[in-house]
Amino acid sequence: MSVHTLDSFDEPSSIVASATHLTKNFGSFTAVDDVSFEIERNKIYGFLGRNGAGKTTVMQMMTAQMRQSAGDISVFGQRPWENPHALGHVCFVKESQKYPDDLKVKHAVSHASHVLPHWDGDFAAELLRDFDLPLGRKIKKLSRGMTSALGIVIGLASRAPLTFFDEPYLGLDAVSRHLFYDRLLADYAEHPRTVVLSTHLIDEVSDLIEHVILIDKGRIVLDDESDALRESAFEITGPAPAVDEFAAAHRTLRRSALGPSVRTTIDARLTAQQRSDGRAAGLTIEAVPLQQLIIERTTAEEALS
Amino acid sequence: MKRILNVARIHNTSWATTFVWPMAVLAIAFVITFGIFLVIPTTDSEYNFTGSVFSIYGFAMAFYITAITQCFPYALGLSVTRREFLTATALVGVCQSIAFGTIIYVLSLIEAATDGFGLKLRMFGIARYATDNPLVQWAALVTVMLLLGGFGAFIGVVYRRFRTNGLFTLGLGALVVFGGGSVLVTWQNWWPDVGDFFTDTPRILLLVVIPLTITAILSAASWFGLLKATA
Repeated sequence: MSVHTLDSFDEPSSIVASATHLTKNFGSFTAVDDVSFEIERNKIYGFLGRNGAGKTTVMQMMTAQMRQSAGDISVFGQRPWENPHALGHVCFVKESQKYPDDLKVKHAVSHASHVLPHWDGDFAAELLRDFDLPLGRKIKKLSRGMTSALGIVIGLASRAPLTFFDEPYLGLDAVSRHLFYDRLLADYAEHPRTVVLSTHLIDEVSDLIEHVILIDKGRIVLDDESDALRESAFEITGPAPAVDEFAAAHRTLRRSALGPSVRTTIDARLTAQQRSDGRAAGLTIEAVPLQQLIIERTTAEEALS
Repeated sequence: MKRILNVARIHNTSWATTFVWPMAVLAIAFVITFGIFLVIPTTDSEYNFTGSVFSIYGFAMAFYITAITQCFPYALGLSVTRREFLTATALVGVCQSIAFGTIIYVLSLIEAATDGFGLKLRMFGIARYATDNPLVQWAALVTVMLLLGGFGAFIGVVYRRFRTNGLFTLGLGALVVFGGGSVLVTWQNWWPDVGDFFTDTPRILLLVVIPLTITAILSAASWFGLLKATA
């Protein structure tokens, strides 16, 4: 197969992958419910959501690990199912990746180098050193964190134009996680590609991700640029009457009273005028951090449903 | 083709697992058998049968069970398609069967030439019981290897699709078919006919064509069973 020609890269479209009305049922349980989204070229996506929200299922369907019940998937302009051309540009690193019993670290790296067409062996060797992975050890004998590190090495060195990392750093310590972020950003700058990162550690990656797709109970509840999201909700703190008056014009995500003062999260963008008006009224106005915003949105959606 | 060869590498976890282990198993089985017949008094029989060569067939089955239960999800995780994986698996199966079948055949020639290693042993010459045709002997050894590999892969597929319940169903089904069959055959006094079938069927049909057909059916079932399987 010709792996060096990325036909779809010549297209003017910047969409590398998309899902349209994607649905997955497990018996009577709907894990993914009519989900549609697009993934643009050369961006880092945060694919966020609670446990069991359907993140892994969506990624498994996008990478043809699992068949969808309904809907369409496009990866580089083609359906990925049993499609070596589309899958040749995709790498999927999953948290639950199982390796054959006797497989050693060096075997996994060697297999990846033979099977993944964009593989960079020098980069892999460098990463293996960085993460201190013992080449001759059986993967079964590695600690949880080291197994995750191996997945990260394969995912990064694959240099796949579309790389999915599903909870890539389970059990990985803070130092190694930051090593991952640093290596990802550095390599991404030199070799731009599309990365979809699913994670619970939203605070840690909030500076890394450029676009957020939030999934909850199998549905997409948020799909927006991180920059836009950062200014999309505000926390208003101050005396109850003033806060309530200010918040009345906006959708309230949460309101909590602490004695005479109240803290209310509003789901709205504020103009400079509105902000200075609020401050003049003695209110503290702060943009909601990404993680907080995700929690508010998820719980607000659940309250509505 | 190059792609399939690259995917086939996934089966070769290490040379130790793929070649050294089965050969070591065979060698140790031989040494033990040889040792036993060395210390027991010489028998009057024409040859001393031993089934220890079947240990390598057991290995082949186990190899293909793990190929499906463990290598399949691993390969899919490396963006390999099901078709690529299955084609590579079939290729490995054919090559391994030819290699092991040939090794056993060569050993059976040595065995025959040395009068059973001086002890009238009949360990490798299992096909020799059925036919004197060297080509059919060789083909039979290769085919039985393929059959067991195909059977192992099929068990692996049943496990992947239906887990433990599938294995129990398979085992129970086999028990009903063979047990029930035995009852039927005994009740109808068909045993002489069964015996005739094994002695009268042309050797090439019995030793090569029929096992190959069963392998083909098992392979087809495995192929369709995995074509929509989740990694």
